[in-house]
Amino acid sequence: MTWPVDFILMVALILAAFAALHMRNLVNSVMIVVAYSVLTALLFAGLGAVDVAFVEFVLGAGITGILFFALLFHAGARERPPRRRDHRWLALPLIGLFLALMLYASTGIPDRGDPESPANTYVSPDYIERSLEDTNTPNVVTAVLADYRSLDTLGEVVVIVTAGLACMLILRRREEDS
Amino acid sequence: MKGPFRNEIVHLICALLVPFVLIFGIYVVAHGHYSPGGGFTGGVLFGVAIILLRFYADQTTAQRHFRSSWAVGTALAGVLIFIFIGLVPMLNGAAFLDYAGFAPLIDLPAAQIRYLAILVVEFAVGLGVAGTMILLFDVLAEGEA
Repeated sequence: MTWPVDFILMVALILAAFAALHMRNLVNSVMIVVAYSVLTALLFAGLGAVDVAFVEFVLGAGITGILFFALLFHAGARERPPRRRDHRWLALPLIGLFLALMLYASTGIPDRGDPESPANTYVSPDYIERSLEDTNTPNVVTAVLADYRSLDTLGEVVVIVTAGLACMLILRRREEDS
Repeated sequence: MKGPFRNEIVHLICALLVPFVLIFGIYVVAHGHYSPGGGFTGGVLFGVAIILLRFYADQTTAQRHFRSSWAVGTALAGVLIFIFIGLVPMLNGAAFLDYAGFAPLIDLPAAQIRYLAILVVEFAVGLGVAGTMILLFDVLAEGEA
């Protein structure tokens, strides 16, 4: 019953991607990218993944937009025209080949919500059934992220902090250099 | 950015939003057990509240609420708290990040120990993410200053 909504959202997603690429003014481009994130978050919410949708709203439609705008203030909001155009005939066949490969691969993944798929039969039923008595936490997603799979969460936090530190080291001006 | 926005509309909207976003961010981290959210979203919301301060308030006010030099320390503190929570069970013989290893230290049922450990871990994740967001914004915004 929800597939028409998903279909409309995906069509809107593709249109937003095209629009974001063709905008001359980069401020408009950033706003359309933020709209793209909102549409993606709605798709996630339609799948029932509310935590992921929340993260996508806050990170994709929130902080990414802010950081892009902060960057646009010194990069300038006008996109310079591209200098050469003759790589298009090399890129399009490769993109078409990649698209065909992805479409062929998508026929092999299990149906959406299939209870017999490998993702739903290995440890997921265990986690869902035992998380409340093991951890007193009604939210299964938090229990899996912070207890059963907390090593992955540690890796994620380390990656985020490392990326921030790398940006700081690259972008921060030193007083003696400039 | 060459400084805070001088527009009254931006000033009003940001000034109205900052306390609510701040409290909502802390709420999302603390209620990760019961509602969607957890450490990542709460941390980003906290960072966004501090960034909104830098949009409209002048330099001294914004720095008084959260100094730019604290951002790196906050992010690293988050990572270190997480690693510390992981290492303590190893002293009692359990595996890394195995919260059952806290049982000899704290006199609570095992499920409650894991509940509290999840809370501390989410708090650490929130700190790490908030510090990184504020650091990124400060680094990007100081470019032309």
